[in-house]
Amino acid sequence: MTNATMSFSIESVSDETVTVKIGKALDFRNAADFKSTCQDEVQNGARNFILDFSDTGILDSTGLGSIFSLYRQVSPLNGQVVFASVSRPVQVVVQLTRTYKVFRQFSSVDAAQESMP
Amino acid sequence: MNCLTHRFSDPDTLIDRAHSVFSSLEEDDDLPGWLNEKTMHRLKLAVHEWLANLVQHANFGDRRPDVSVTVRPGRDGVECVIEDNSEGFDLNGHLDTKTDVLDAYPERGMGLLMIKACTEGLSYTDLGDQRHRLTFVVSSEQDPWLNIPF
Repeated sequence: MTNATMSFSIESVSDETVTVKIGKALDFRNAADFKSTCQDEVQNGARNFILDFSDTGILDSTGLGSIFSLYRQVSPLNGQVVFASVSRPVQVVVQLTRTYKVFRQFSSVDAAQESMP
Repeated sequence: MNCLTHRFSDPDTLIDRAHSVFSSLEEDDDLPGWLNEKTMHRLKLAVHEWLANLVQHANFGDRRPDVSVTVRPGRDGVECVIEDNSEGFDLNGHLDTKTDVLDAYPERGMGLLMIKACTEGLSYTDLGDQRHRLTFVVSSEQDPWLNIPF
């Protein structure tokens, strides 16, 4: 995996909302980086996370576990984790684990951003 | 689509190379009609999870890793065979004792259960001479579900 796919780009939407572009993969190789990146954002005041899966070909169990970890962190703060532009490989994991019950899905990042408080 | 076998020996590139093989497969005009996109993604997920397990936890001793992935179309789905030369795992014991994800919003422990959920006929065999074989079928008829408590 290249360095470009190991890192995550963050776009600040408001004081409490950020969009995280996941890139090509969120799996056992970069899940710790994802957790660390999100933890920094929470410490800086972010509560709502929009995860942009538009380019994502791999979401594995460890990657999903890191998203659950983020959810556990922000839900006591009345925060949200939502999925945007969910690619087909990611949708298969979402369906397999029924995580659509936990993470709202939006067809685009713009739609997700408009839904945020 | 014929039977395909690929061998891998570098754990650092194994995952990306395996996904490249599947990307080539997806571009194959010769794919059977029943091998729909969803079935292919479930196959990729199951293979990925097992290779990730090998990369993270397998003990190859002082041997050069030798991992082969064979995919062949069957009557009811795609059969996949993954062989490796590690010391092996107690996969059957693990799956016998952990049939479901117990924790809410689990951070770990879902990988093998994901494989079990989206495959049929899962078996793991010690071939002797430090070879192990994982075999499973991914069926296009399945609507698998891994029960995670929320």
